[in-house]
Amino acid sequence: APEAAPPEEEAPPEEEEEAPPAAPEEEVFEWKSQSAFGLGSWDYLCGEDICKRIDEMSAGRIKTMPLLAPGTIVPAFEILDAVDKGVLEMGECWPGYWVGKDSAFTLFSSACGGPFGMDTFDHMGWMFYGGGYELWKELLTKTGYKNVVPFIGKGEFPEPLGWFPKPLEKYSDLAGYKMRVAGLAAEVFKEAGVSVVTVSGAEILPLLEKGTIDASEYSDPHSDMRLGIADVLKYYHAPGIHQPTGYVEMLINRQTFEALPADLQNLIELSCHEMLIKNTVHEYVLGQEALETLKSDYGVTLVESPDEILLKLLESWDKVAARECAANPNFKKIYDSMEDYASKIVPYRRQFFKDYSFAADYYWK
Amino acid sequence: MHESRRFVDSFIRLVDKISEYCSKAFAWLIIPMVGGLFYEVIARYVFTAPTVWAYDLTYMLYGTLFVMGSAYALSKNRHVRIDVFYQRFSPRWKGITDACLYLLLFFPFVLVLFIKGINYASHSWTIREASPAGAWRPPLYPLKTVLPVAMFVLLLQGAAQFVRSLRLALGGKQNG
Amino acid sequence: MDSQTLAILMLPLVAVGIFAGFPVFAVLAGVSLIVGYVGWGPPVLDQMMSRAFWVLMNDTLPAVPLFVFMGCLMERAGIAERAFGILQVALGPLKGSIALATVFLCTLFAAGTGIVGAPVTVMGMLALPAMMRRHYDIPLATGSILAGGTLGILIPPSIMLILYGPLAGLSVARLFTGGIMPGLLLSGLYLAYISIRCTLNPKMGPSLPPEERAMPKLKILFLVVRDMFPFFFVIIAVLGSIIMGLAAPTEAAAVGAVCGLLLAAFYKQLTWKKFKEAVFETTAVSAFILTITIGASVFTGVFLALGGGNVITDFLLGLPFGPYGVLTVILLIVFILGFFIDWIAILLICIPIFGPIVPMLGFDPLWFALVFAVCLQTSFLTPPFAVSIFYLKGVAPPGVELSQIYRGVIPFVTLQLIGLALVVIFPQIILWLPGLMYG
Ligand code: NA
Ligand code: NA
Repeated sequence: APEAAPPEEEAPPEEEEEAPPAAPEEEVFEWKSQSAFGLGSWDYLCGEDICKRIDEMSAGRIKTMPLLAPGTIVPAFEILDAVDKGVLEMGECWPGYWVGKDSAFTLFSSACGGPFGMDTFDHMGWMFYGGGYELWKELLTKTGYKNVVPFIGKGEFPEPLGWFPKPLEKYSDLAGYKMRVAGLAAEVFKEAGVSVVTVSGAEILPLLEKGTIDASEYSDPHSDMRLGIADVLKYYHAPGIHQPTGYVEMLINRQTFEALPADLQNLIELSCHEMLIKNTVHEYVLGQEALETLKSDYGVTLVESPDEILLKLLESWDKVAARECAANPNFKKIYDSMEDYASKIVPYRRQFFKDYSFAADYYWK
Repeated sequence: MHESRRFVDSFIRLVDKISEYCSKAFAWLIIPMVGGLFYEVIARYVFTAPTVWAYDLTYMLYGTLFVMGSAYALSKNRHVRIDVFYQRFSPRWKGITDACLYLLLFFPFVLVLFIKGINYASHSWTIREASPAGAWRPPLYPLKTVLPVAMFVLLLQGAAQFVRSLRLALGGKQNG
Repeated sequence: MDSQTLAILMLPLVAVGIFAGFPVFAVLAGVSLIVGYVGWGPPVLDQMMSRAFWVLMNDTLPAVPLFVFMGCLMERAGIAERAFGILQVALGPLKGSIALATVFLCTLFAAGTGIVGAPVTVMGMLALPAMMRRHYDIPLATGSILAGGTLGILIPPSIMLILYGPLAGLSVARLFTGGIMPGLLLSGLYLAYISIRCTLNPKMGPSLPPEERAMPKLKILFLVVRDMFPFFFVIIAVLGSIIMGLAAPTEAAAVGAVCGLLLAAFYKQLTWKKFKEAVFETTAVSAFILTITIGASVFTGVFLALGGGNVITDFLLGLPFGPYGVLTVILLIVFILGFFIDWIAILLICIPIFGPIVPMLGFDPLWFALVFAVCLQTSFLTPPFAVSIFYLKGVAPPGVELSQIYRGVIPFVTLQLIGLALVVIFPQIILWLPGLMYG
């Protein structure tokens, strides 16, 4: 085969004789791919960049573009089933949507508390070298989604604490807010006396405008800006602790994936993981620019979240996690694996990244 | 032939009754729906402590209510027909078009939702699927079971309506 | 036949099925299933399941049965009838007063919810019988309910603008602000049209003959307080509490139902029999509305899965016109698509295309989004696929002919097109308010 790089050991070339240099009729794979995220949102653009990359690198042998909007083929919350059943060849979504299938999916989307102090890069380390990827695949199989081949496509920016009408000074200030919180983090905020309202991202703004909710968390500064929250609430609190890591996932139907020749299978993995890094750091760049705009054009004030609040939220998360561990063996198995990995990596890193703000303070304070 | 005719008549009557009971029994779900939401508003403003259950309860009751009422709506001819031309058809022609379209459009679609509905519901039971929306996370499998059940009743009612159309088409009078 | 051709083929097939008089939900779902299976294969079966279940699990649609229940209670208890009766007395010689009140209440409804099904059915149950009993022109009566009820998509909150905002990089808050004036403009056009038509031809919306409304002023005042005030108060309080943010639409609908119950009890109109009827009727009406929603959702999904959107994309991108030429074609396409497919399908087809094109044409994206929304209004009213007409047909009293409804819709679609022309010619109608609020 003329391909430069030899395929990996799991996919040995099976052709009995050398193919002619120019394969005249390459099979073209046309996929239906759909996102769970609104057109134009940052998470959608991440998925679109992956699709573009796949199309480009395969030189047209795989056509995944356009990445369709949620609801085009199936509703956002049905993407997992749709990929499993082959309605979609590829779906872009967020593991946190599947907490109803198994609460352990939250550990790949919005595990609070670090988890155990890990940031996105540590969490990625766990995915690749701490058994995370295997546990994820196992969880999908256990919940009946054997036909799904999952990849991660973006590591999440640690979500800010959220948007409030006035600055928070202490933990007890949280009590009484009617706040939109998504995922298992809802339970953490509930412990603080917040009246948690769970609505989809699309409904945040109308409810905020009318005052049905008076505070909200959503995503990174770039996405928050696009949603227009800053036209209603002016105090943006960071850092947060309720969703420090997590992924955008690219789910591919197994028959579709296995029908690809080995080089294209590798190409899919490569594209996802290349874009995983790029999308992750790109979010920092976009977020930084967005924060400037939020301050200058929208009159937003960035408030540093008091340590007391973050500490109390961590304590609440530990309670919630303990409850989940007791109730769900899948959750416990994955949570233990993360703790085991963190117990080695986090103390190790602390010796080198001792305090992010130490050198940062020296240069930028 | 009389005997088979009687049998068919009693089948139609039975199906009409089943649809009617289904619809009327589940219609009362509107009361807990109103009550739950009304309590939610009171809880929020009077006790400043909204419930965790109102959100999930609302959509579950709503989905059950309307889909279980669909078969009775069919038997009472409440599903919207655009009858600009239809109302000028002779009874015989009404019977013919309806019978054909039941076979061509209605049965395949309802059958698909019935069979697929069973698959999805049984999967939901196996993994003890919960509602993904809020902090309450109540079981979702009852709602997923409602769909195939409702589709079964709708299939029966469709069969009854089909027989009615067939009789019209064959020039019989519409009874039973 | 390739799948795109099949997608386009769905449009005439659905039209034939609908006009053959078969139940609309079954036409939409059945045609989609057959064409989808031919053009795509077995995945269409799972897609249908997903889309049907989404309607069952939807969190905005529960407002439909709740508002319908409120409407049923008020109708059974004769509350609306009394209220419209005394309204006509109080407004004296004003022609078409009930139709005007209907459009007014619909505008308020639009500001409360983004759901079109609720205002059309509720006003269809309450105002239509009231107008018919007073010998209003049926096309005018139905037209005002249909057009008024459709305002919900334009006046915020609007799901269309929520979907549109992030794509164009526009704050949804600003889009909402931009939607207010065009919405009020259309509402104003409807009101003006109704008064002019009824003044020119009093038979269309007759006022009471002078002898029937000749009452002492004090008695009128008493009757207004007793019969009209409670009804309008409930509706305005319910919708007002949504607009003021006291309650989400579903909650407010539940509060409305409780108010309806209390009012009915207050007027001693609510027998157990009537209450039971209201409960059963709620289910029947909700069942037909939401079963159509399943059909429409399945249809949209299959049409898009077969690549029906690509046909339009390819066509648009190949146009050799300047900006206003392209704009005209875009609006024309939206208008024509509106005859055949659901508005959500139009959104899903058009947003990915127009989002990137519009800035290139040099248009203000905020302005464009709202011009688009005004144009999309027509899709609810233009047959064969006219969702609002389906809803109204389902609750209209016997004696209302579809041909009358169709006739009634024509002037209001024309008004929508006039409104469209106005916002294109005078962009300030859209841009003034956002400019004022956000600089
Ligand atoms: Na609205
Ligand atoms: Na239409």
